[in-house]
Amino acid sequence: MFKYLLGRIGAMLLTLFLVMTLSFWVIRLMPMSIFENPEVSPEIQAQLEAEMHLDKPMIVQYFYFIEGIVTRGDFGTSVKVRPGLDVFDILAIRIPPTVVLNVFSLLISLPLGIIVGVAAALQRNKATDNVLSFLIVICISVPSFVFASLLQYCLTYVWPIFPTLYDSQATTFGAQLYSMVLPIIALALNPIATIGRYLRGELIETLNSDYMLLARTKGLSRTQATIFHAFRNSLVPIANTIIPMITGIMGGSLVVEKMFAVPGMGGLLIDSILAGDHFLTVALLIFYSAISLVTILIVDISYGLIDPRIRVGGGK
Amino acid sequence: MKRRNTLVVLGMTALLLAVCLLPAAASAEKVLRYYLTGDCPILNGHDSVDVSLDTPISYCGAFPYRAVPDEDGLGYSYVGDLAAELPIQVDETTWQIKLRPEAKWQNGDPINADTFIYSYKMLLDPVLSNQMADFLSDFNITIVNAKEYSLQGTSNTVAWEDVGIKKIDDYTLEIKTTSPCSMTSVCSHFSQNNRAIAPVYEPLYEAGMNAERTNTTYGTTLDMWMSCGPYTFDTWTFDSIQIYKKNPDYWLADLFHYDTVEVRVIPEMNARVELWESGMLDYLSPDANTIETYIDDPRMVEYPSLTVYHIDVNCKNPENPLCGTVAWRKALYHAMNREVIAESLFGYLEPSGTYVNGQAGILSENALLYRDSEPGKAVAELVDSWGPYGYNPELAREYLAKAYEEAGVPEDTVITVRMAFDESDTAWKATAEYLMEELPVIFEGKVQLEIDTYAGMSTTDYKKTTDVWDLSPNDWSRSASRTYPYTCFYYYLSTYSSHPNNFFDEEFEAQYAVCDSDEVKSDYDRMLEETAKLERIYLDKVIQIPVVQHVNYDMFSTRLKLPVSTYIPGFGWGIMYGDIVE
Repeated sequence: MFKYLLGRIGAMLLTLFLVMTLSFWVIRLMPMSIFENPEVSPEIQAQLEAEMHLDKPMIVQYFYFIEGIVTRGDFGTSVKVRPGLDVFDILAIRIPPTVVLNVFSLLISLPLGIIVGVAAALQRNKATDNVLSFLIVICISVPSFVFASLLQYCLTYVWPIFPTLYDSQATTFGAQLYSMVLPIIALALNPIATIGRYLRGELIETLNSDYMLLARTKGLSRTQATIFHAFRNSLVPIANTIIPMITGIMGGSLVVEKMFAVPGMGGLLIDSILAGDHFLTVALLIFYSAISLVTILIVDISYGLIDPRIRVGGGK
Repeated sequence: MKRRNTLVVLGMTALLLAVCLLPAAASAEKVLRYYLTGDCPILNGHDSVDVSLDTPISYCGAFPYRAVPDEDGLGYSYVGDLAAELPIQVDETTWQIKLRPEAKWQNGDPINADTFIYSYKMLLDPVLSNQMADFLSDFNITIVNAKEYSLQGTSNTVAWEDVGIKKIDDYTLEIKTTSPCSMTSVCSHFSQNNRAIAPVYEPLYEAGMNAERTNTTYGTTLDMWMSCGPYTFDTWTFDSIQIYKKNPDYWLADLFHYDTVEVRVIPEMNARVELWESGMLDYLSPDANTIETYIDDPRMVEYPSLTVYHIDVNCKNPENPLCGTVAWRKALYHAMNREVIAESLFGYLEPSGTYVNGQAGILSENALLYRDSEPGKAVAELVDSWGPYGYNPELAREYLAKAYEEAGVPEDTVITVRMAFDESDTAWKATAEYLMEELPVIFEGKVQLEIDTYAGMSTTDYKKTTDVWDLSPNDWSRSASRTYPYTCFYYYLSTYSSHPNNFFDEEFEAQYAVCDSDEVKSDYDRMLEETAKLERIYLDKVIQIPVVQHVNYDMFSTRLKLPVSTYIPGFGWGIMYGDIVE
C-alpha cells in the first residue's frame, strides 16, 4: 500500500508538472497583452513588460517561471485582478466563503440525496418513485443558476424572507449563514438529485441480489437489510460521485456566487482570463489540477475502505 | 400532545417570519447605499488604471483641490481641499499651491509639502513604472520635464530637480507648466478628477516596496493604505462591500452629510434591480436589458458619456480590393442607419455621425460643451446636411461606384465585408445581423457582410492575430477629452502603438499636432475651432465610422437629495455631497 501510494504521488507530481507546463504555454500563447491600456503610455507598458520578462522569448519566460516555483515557491503576483498580491494570498482570501457555501450545500445534499435515493428504490415504480424521479430529472437538467434566480426573486423580492446578497459583514456566523441559505439551496439541488439518481439505480440492482434474500431469510427486516447490506454495497459506485463533490468544495460556483455576490472562488478563473492576468490564471489552473489529482487518489483509496474486498497495490 | 407540538411549531415559524419580515428599526444614521459592478483591484492611485478606484479615493482620499457643487445646483467650482486656497499664479507658467496646515492622515500624521514631493516623485519614478504617471505629467496641464523624468528608465538623463514640481516651504508647492494654462486647468488637474494625484502615505508605501524598488504593495489591502479624506475607509471585503465612515476631523466636513457610505459590489443586474425595488439601493443605472422597464419612470435621468461607439475600418484587408480607398470608407459611413442602430439595437442611445463625445470640451466659454459650441455645431450641421446623422444610401452607392473606379475593380465584383466582434457583445451582434441584411439592400447586392466572432480577448488583441477583417466595433473613451476635446482622436495617430485600423493620414496627424500645441491649448476658443477642423478631416477621410453616442441612464431614490438639479459634465451628480432625507 505504501509503495502504491508513493508511486501514485510520484505520478501526481509528474502530471502536475505537465499541467504547469501546458498551462503556462497555452495561457501565454493567447494573443493578449497584459498591460495593454489606451490610458497608459506605450513606454510605461514596455517598461512593465521588461520588468516581468515579458519582452523575452517564451522559452526564457518559461525558465523564469519554473525557476521561481522551484527555487522560491513563487507562482507569481497578480497584475490585474488584485495587482501586487501574491496569487496564493488571493486564494487564501477567496477560499473561505466558497468552502462555507459548499460545505453546507454538501451537508444538505448528502443526507437528502441518500434519503431520496433509498426512498425511490424502496418504492420502485410506485407514485413516490415516480414523483421523486421527476424531481430528480428537473434538478439535474435545470442549471443551478435558474434555481438561484427563482429563489432570489421569490424569497428576497416577492416574499422578502432572506437577504438578496451574501452578507460578509454579519457579526455572527449564524447571520452570515442566514444570508447564504439561498445559494446553499441552489447549489444543493443538483447534488441531491445526482446522489439520489445513482443510489436509486444501485440499490434497485442490489435489492434484487441473492444475498439480500439471504439477509431477509435470516430474519432482518427490509429496512435493516437495505441499510446494513444493500446500502453499503451501493456506495462503491457512487463514491466516484460523492468524493469529487467533497474535494470540489474549493472550486466554487461561477454563476451562483456572482448572483449572490459571494466573494469566493467562483468566477476568479474567468475574471483572470478575461483580464489577461496570466500569472493568476496559471496559478489557478495548477491549483484546480492539484485538487483534481488529490480527488482521484482519494477516490481510488476509498474503494478499499468502503469495500474490504477491494485492495489496491496488489496487497493481499 | 401531537396537536400541542403542531401549535408550538406553527407559533415558532410565525415568530421567525415576523422577525424576518419586520422592517429594520429606523435609524437616525444617514447611510448612502451605493453599488459598484466590480471591486477596485488596488487602492494605490499611482498604479490603478481601473476607474473603480474613483469611488473610494473620492470619499476617502484628499486632493489639493476639490470640485464642489454651487449653491444654485447648476454648476460647480473648485475649493481648496488639502490646499488652503486656490492656486496662485506666479507667472504665465508657474503656479503655487499653498497647503492647509491642519491637513492630516487618518492616524493624525501631518500632510505637508514633503508628503506631496514624496508622492509625486514616486508616481513619476522611472524605475517603479507607475501606470498612472502620465496623469501627473500630462493630463490637464503638462508639467515641465515630468514625462521626460518618468520615461527615462535607468538612463539618469533627467534629474528630479529638473522636474517642474518644487517645495518652496513646508506648506507651499510650486508647479511649472510647459505652456500657459488657466486656473481651472490647474485645479482640475489637482482635483478628484485625477485619481493619481491623491498623496500616498510614505511609511506604508515604503513598507511595501521590494528590494529592487520596482514595485510596492501599497494599497493592495486596507492595512496597506491610509485614508485622509472626508470619510475613512472602514471595511473592505473584496468583491463584496466597501464601508466608509465619516471623518469628523476632516477640514471640510460640513460639505458631507452621510454618516456612512456602503458600497456593495453587485455584478448581477437582477440583484441590483431587486435591491433597488426593495429600497435597499439609493442609485441604479439600468443596462440595455432593463432600461425598457424604467424608461418612463420619472426618477430616470440621462446624460451623454465620453464614449462614441464606432466601427473601425481596416484598410489593409488582403481579401478586400476596395479597402484601401477613401471612397469605400465614405460608402460605408453613409450606409449606416444610425437612428435604427441606436434606438432599436443599442436601446435608447443617441445616434451619432460625429466622433467628439457629448461630454467633451467643458472648459469652453459659458461652460458650453464642444458639441454645443459654434464650431462643434457647424460640424454636426455638415453631417446632417448629408442625411440624418450622415445616413444617405444614395450617397453610399455613389461612393461605392467611385471606390470601384479608384481601385480599378470591375463594378460587378461582389465585395464580402467581414465584421469581427466580441461574441458576448449583444448590441454589436444585433447591429452586425442588421447590417448583414441592410448592406446588400443599400448596395444592390454588390456588398455582402459576413460575421467573425471572437471571445476572451480584447479587440486590439484580436486584430493582432489577423488582417482579414473589414469592420470592427470599438469604444475608446479618453477622459482628457473632457478638457481637451481633440484628444479623443489620439488613438488614430501613427504614434499610438495599438492603432486600430492601419489607416494613417498626414493631414489628420498635422492637424492633431496643431490642436496639441501649447499655443492652441492656451486659447480655449481657438482649440475648439482647431478641434472642429480636425473633426472635419476625420469625416472627410472617414478615419473610422461613428455610430452611437453612449447615453448613461441613472435613477436615484427619493430619499437621496442630490446637490445639483441637472447633470454637470466634468462634475456629475455630486452624489458624495448629497443628503439623506427620509
